Amino acid sequence: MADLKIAAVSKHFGQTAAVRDLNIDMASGEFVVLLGPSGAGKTTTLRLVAGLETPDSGQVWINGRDVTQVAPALRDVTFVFQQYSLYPHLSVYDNLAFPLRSPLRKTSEDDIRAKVTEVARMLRMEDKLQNPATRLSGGQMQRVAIGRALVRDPAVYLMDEPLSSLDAKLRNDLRLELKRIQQDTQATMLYVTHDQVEALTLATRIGVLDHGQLVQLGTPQQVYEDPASVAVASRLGSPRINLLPRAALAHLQVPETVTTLGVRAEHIQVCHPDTLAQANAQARVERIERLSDQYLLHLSLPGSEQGLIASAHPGELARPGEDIHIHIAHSLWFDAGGQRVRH
Amino acid sequence: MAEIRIQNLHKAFAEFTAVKDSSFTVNDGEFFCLLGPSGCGKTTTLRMIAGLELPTSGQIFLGGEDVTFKRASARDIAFVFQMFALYPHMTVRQNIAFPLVSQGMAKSEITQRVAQAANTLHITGLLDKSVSGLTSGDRQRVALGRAIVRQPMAFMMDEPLGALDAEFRELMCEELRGLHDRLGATTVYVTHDQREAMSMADKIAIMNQGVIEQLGAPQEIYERPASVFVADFMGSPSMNFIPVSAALARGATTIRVSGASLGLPAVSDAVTERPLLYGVRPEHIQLSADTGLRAEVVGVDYLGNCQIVTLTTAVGSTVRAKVDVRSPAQRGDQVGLVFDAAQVSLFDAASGRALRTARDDIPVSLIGTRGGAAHG
Repeated sequence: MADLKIAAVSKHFGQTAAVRDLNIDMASGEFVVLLGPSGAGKTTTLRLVAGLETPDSGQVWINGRDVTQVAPALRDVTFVFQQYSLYPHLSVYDNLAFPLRSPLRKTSEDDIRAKVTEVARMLRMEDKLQNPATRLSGGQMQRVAIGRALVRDPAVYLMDEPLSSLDAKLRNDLRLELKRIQQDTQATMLYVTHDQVEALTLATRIGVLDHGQLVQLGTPQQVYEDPASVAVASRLGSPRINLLPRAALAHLQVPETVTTLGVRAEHIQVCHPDTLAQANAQARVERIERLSDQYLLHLSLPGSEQGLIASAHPGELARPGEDIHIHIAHSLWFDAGGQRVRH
Repeated sequence: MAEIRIQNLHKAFAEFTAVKDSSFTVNDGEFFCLLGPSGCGKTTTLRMIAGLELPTSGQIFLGGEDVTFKRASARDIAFVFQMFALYPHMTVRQNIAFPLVSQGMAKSEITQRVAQAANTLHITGLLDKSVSGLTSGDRQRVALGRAIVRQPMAFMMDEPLGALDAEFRELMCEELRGLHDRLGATTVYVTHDQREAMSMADKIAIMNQGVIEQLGAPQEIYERPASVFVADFMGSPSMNFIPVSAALARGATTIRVSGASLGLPAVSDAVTERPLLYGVRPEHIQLSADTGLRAEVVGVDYLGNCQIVTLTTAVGSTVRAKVDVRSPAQRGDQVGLVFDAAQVSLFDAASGRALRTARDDIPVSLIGTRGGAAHG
């Protein structure tokens, strides 16, 4: 457990700037999730912290120590990769014990047993300790891979999409488990994903990366409700935020510089006779999508090709083809460069 | 375009039975999803329909014709794989044209078919580009182009979106369903992602250990799960199960759990004393200060448009509730859980099968709604 500071770090690969002037200050016990599309610089950032890459400029500080020039093995970090790599010829126990048996650290077999047992209990795998690693399911293997990071008690955990190779269902279970483990151990974690649900639910703070730059760093609420740009707003939320050209809702009062309106599906209400006075737009229902517990109304705005998705409560469903009045309760404003225009 | 009929299909690999005695029909023009966890037999089923695997027993009819032992190439089916295998040295146009060229089709017709397929997929602008420079989404569109250009009787898709980023997958779901609506082609689609299946399928067959557990329209499977497995697999987070041992009279509408009386849709048949599972979806739970089943908040997950509250009940089970973001809940809070009785499912704990209730008598289109909903 330790704090982590990434100070003005930049990294180029040839002509490509992978990470540009990145600054992140993490307190001990914090869970920071880096979110962004492929190529945003997320994995490069992890590798820079781990020491697998050297920055062109800037420093990495772990627990108050500048480790920029320190070898990976001496940085006291562990890295969990997307593809779990276990030793197939070893049992779960020996896989978990492996990092502790490294010649760099002298741990007695008694201490190893205590630590492995503790971690196995945390992972709910006590009964699997003697199984060969190859006799596990994918989810169990990934749990062992995470467990191998946990036995070491490093200063900082680095995780690169550790759940993305798993089945949808398993991914959900393991995500909740990972959060519980982090809360129990108060580990400092820097975690990379492109899955917004993982980011929202795991993070104490989310850092959104785009083209190597940190475009916003804040709590899940801040990033979801108060996004700094179109890129951030559309990265979080399912269904995705509706982005409308200013002209599509020309009658709404907004500042001059606004070119794009962002409207989240949950902020569009279908008006019924009692609430008709609130209506501020008209729309036609194109189709209704049923996503387990969510009803999504696919709407079109009159006189334009513009589509709009609204989430509806079962009580306010309209029929396909019907013209309805809607109330847009809240919208976010963006300028031509995609930056937020505040009220 | 054609109907696909599967009769008593069975496949064993040595000791392991991958598919057990499955029978189902995919109607002409239907988007049919085979859904289930890894190893449930969904891909094996798909591969048998395509002719990439031969069944141990059973029959496969394509457009009324028995194709069980026909070679894959003689089945007039197009297969789209998860890993889009394109020819990297060819242009988009050459890749899409490839299946027609190998059939020996006339050049003028190939040109026309490729243009048509590209137009359907909105990739006309990419036709003369090299495949190697494309984004993963565009590569998948080209792979689809290569499938649709043949105008086959049916499409087989094996997790075609599995390799894509989460955010992009959502967009491609829309696109694939749109494509299906334009082509109207019979499609069998394999996935482990219930969300994909819910958003695209006309009909879902949910598989478990080689057996189809339930077959039906997406909302039917979600609203009226036939078993604990199905209830648990569909929805995210999945259904909550509260164990209780009870005897119920015919028409009973409540069940006692640890001092609280929980509501149910009227039970259709009397139930003798036995272990049951009271199943309730996260969105059908409300947190209340003083009524309902007592529970302690152990975690809160913020999801932007809602939050998932994880609780431990007085009977020791874990319950997840999906509630409004404005609803205050914090780790350590003591609350009461109130369940929407009309939406509850009841299961026999031993067999895992759902017990019949008044909920089974309501038309599916009206379940869970007050107005009645159409599926897109």
